[in-house]
Amino acid sequence: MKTDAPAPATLCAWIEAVARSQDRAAFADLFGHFAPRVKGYLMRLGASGAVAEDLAQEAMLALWRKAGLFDPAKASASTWVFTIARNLRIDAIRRERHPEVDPAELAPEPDRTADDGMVRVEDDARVREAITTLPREQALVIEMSFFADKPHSAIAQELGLPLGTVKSRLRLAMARIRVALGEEG
Amino acid sequence: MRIVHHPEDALLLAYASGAADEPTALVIATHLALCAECRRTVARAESTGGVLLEDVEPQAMSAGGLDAVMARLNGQEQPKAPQAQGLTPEPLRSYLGGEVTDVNWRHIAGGLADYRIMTRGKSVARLLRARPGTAVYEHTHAGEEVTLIMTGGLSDHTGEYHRGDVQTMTDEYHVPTALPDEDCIVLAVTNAPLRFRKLHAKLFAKLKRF
Repeated sequence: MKTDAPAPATLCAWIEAVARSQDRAAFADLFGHFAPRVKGYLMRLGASGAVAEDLAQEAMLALWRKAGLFDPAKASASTWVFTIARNLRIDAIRRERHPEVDPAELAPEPDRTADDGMVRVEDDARVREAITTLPREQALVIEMSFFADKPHSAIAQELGLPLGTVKSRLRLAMARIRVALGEEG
Repeated sequence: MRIVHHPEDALLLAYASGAADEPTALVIATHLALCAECRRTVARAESTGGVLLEDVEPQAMSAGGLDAVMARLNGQEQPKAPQAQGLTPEPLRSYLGGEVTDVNWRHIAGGLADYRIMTRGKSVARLLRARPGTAVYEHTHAGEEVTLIMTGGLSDHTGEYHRGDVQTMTDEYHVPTALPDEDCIVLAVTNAPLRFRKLHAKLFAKLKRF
């Protein structure tokens, strides 16, 4: 992480301020942090600068609109913004939807801990640690899963590997992330 | 409900990253509505996306970007309140406009009916309904078939599948057969036409554009 980036807990607090009181100063701070990253993410996926700029603006509007749905016990601020950016990209560039569960329909689950959101706040650091220490071949297929916008069969072809090898590398990588988060299978 | 058969990690990851096509994503998301374990796997994959977003090379926004967005903040409507869940959870219910039992079925053959939900490129999502005990002609897949059980159950040589279970098949012949007690309705996505083994089934599939 860049050293000047706000702490995950700060990002959460800003989103909660937007949800609670439509706090425009907090929103401007969120924009300063996330908009350039969303734009960078979209450009990594092949969007032009102009399209990425527009979609990053739309993502920030969606953040404003949906701030009340943000649940820091379920996901970090960065993860939540990632899902917003992902869905907007699918909608705008592929002209498809990203079908999702309705959280209000799901049976309540016991939290991993009954504490505050602090555990989740540390999760990003754990996931970062896990993915930066993955064996190179696992890190590559994870990165391609997020940035190549291709099915795994196409990724396998590009790497000259059997599909089963790509899938097993992904499975191993996901297992390491699960262990890093202290979650059981 | 105890779910035994889950989508493989690669499919859950493709859903989380946004690389999966919409029909496949619909099957996965509907499974997620029924499976807390896979929701946790997807949450972990999305956390990975969050970290990758955080660490991506930021690209400067245009000078007026923030002001343009700030000017549009008012008048943004809030999300609507959700409804209660019946047999058919979101997101599938929205795609069908109701329950899996109430769609406009197309009769295929003795005990079999289908309902096409959407086609995106080569990928097709549909509901299939088999009356109790009905067997589907022996077939295999040029591509991949991912099937989620919504009601009843089915069995084939790989095992028995019940509501919430997911079966992923590729290049293997199988004869899925509905369990005897109730209609088996499945949500299935295929990315290539089925290949039937017997000639009469082949002709039949062609006739019905199955």
